[in-house]
Amino acid sequence: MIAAYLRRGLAAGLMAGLLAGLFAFFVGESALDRAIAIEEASAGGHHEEEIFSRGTQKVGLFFATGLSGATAGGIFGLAFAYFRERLSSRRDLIRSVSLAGAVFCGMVLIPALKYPANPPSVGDPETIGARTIAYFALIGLSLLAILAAWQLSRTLRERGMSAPVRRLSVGIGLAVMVVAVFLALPAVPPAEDFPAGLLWSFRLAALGTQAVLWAGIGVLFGLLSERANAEPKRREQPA
Amino acid sequence: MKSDRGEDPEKEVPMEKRLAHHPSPPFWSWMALTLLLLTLFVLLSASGALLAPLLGETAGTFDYLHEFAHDGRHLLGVPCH
Repeated sequence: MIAAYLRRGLAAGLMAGLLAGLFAFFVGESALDRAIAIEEASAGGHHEEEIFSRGTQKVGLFFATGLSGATAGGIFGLAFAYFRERLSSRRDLIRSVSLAGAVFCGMVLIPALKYPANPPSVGDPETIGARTIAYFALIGLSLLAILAAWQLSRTLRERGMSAPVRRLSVGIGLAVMVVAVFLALPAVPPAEDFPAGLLWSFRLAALGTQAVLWAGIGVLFGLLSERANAEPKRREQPA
Repeated sequence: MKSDRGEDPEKEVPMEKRLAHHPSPPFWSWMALTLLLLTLFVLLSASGALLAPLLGETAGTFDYLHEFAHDGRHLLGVPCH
């Protein structure tokens, strides 16, 4: 059964990744091109030798979003197999969408508040190691905070706390955990004299790309599961 | 909403009882998870500059992947350079 969820996750992730690639291509690429133009202008004629042309990199965009979508979808499928019976909803589509929503909050939305996406030319290449470690630490800790909030909500529900009080307590608990994580991790270096408007539209495009990816995984995985659930029933019916 | 399609057959069974039927995940699923996380890291984050302290000169080969997946990495929000 876990293998079926894994396969379904890989398939849903690949499709969602290609959709995210389309969004990134039509919405994000213009900001990316402008950022690269600024990078080249600030290099002052000293042109770095490029391995791939910009055209090839735009093909690579779909390679990157498609394959990382499939990989993320596979991880999602394994997580779904684990959490399926532990989620309160009875329908796989609702379960899938709410799990994808939780992952989106922990992996994208909360981390983006502290370490938002950066266009080319923002960020000092010398510090890439430290920034990468801090970035993955933030993602890991945000996902743990979401998991802890969900566990807290289950415990309070079992103790019979009323829904409004429970939601408020869980919300406050999550906010406290997120603030603690934000304070513990190193501050993001300033984007210096990069145009603020362009930075903002790039970051929105990056957030949108990831929103399309996780919405796609949640919905497509849920639909594939619902279809698989319906199949034995269909076979029972006379042809 | 009444629908017998895609419903859980164990509808009325309490969660504790439902969970009792589910043993902990098998070993292969942990291996698969590790492999998928490693793949995600290579696709989205591995680059010559990042891995040079670990792998030395050979880390440079990751730069081809880094440059090819460049736009995707930036737009998926991963620190790129």
